[in-house]
Amino acid sequence: MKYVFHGIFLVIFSIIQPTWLEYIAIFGVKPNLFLIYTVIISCYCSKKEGAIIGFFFGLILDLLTGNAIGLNGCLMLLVAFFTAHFCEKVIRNNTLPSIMVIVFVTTLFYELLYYIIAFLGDLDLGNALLKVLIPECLYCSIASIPLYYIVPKTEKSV
Amino acid sequence: MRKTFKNKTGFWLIVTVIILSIAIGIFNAASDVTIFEDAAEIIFTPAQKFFTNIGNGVSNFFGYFSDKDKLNDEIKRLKNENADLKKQISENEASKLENEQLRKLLNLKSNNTEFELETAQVIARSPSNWYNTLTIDKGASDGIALNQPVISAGNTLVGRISEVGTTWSKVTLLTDPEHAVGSQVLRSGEYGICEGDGSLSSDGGCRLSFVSKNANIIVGDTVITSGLGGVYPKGLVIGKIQKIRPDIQGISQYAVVSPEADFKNLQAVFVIQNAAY
Repeated sequence: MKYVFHGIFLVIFSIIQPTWLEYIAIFGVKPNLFLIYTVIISCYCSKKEGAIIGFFFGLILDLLTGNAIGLNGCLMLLVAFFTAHFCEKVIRNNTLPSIMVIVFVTTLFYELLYYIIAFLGDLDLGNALLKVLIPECLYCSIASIPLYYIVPKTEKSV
Repeated sequence: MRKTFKNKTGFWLIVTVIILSIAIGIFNAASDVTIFEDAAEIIFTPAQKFFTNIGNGVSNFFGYFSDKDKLNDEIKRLKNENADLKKQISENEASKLENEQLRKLLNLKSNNTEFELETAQVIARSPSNWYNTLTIDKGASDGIALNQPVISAGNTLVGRISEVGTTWSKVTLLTDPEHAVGSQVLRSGEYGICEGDGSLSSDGGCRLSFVSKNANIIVGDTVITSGLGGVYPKGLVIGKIQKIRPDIQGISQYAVVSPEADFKNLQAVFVIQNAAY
C-alpha cells in the first residue's frame, strides 16, 4: 500500500512542482517537493528503500527538467542513503525540528553538488549561495512542516 | 564514517554514483529529447495544462481586485496613446501609399517581413531553481523546431525553443545561463551579447556583455536583437539597461538588462516559424 502512496505523491509533485509552485515562489525561489519528500521518507525507512525511492523521484525530476538526465536521480539516491543512515544511527526520534534541520542540510548538500556538477566551469558560488541555495534551504525547511505530518502516515500504512 | 561503510558494497555504490553523476553532468546532451522524456511529458502535460489554467484563473481573479486602480490609470493612459496612434496611423497610411507607388515605379518586390507565428500556451515552468525554462503545448506535430525564436506581445523576445517533443516543447528563457543572443542598443547602435547569468536570473535580469569600455550606452537604453548569429531576426525587443558596470579586467563593461517580457505572468507566447534573418 505504501508504494501506491509513493506513486500518488510522485504524480502530484510532478504536476504541482512545475505549475502551482511558481505562484508561491519567493524572490524567484521555490521549494523542491521531490527532495523534501525523499528526505522525510528516508527518515522512516531503510537505507536501501530510501535510496530506491530517492532514485526514482530524482529520475522523474530529471525527465521534467530536461537537463542532465540521471543527475538528480543519482544525487537523490545519495541524499536518501545518508539521510536514512543518519536518522537510524543518530536521530532515532524524528521530531519536527530535527526533520527541519535535516531538510535544510540535505537541501544545501544536494543543490550545492548539483550546481557544481551542472555548471562546472561557470561557477559563481557566492551569488548562488546568497540568491538560490540559502533561500531554497530555508524555504524547503518550512515547506517540510506539512509533509512531516502527512508522509510518515503513508509509510506506516499497510 | 567507517561504520557507514562496513559493507564494502555500500562504499563502492556511493563512489560509483558520484562518478556517474559527474559523468552525466559533463556529457549531458540537453537538446536531445529521449523517448522516456517525451513519454513523461506527454503523460504529464495534459494535467499540468489543467492545473496551470486553474492557477491562472485564481491568479487573475485576485489580480483583478489588487490591480483595479492601476488598471483605471492604465485605461486613461491607453486612451491618450490610442488617440496619438490614430493620428500616426493616418500619417503612416499616406506614407505607405506614397511608398508603394514609388516601389511600383522602381519595379521592386516588397520584402515580406511578416512573421509566421504559432500561438502556444505556457503550461509549465522549470521545476528546478537553476534553470529558467517554460513548457508550451505545441511540439513537433505543430511544426515547432529547435532554436525557433519565441516572442510575446509587442515583438518582445522571450527565448528560444531548446527541446521539442511530440506535443510539447521547452523554451529556454533569455535569463537562463544557457541562453545568449546577439544584441544591439537601439539608440546608439552599439553591439553586445545578451546572456543569462545565474547571479542575475533570480532577480529576473540578464547581462549585456562584450560592450567596449567607451561604448555609448546609458541607463534606460532599449536593447534589441541584432540579427547576428542566425537564430533571431533583427529588431526583437529584449529589454532596458538597468545598470552599467565595468568588467573584472577593466577592458570592457557590461550592463544589467531588465527584460521587457513579463516571464512570471506569461500565459501565451508566439513561436516564430519563419524567422527572417
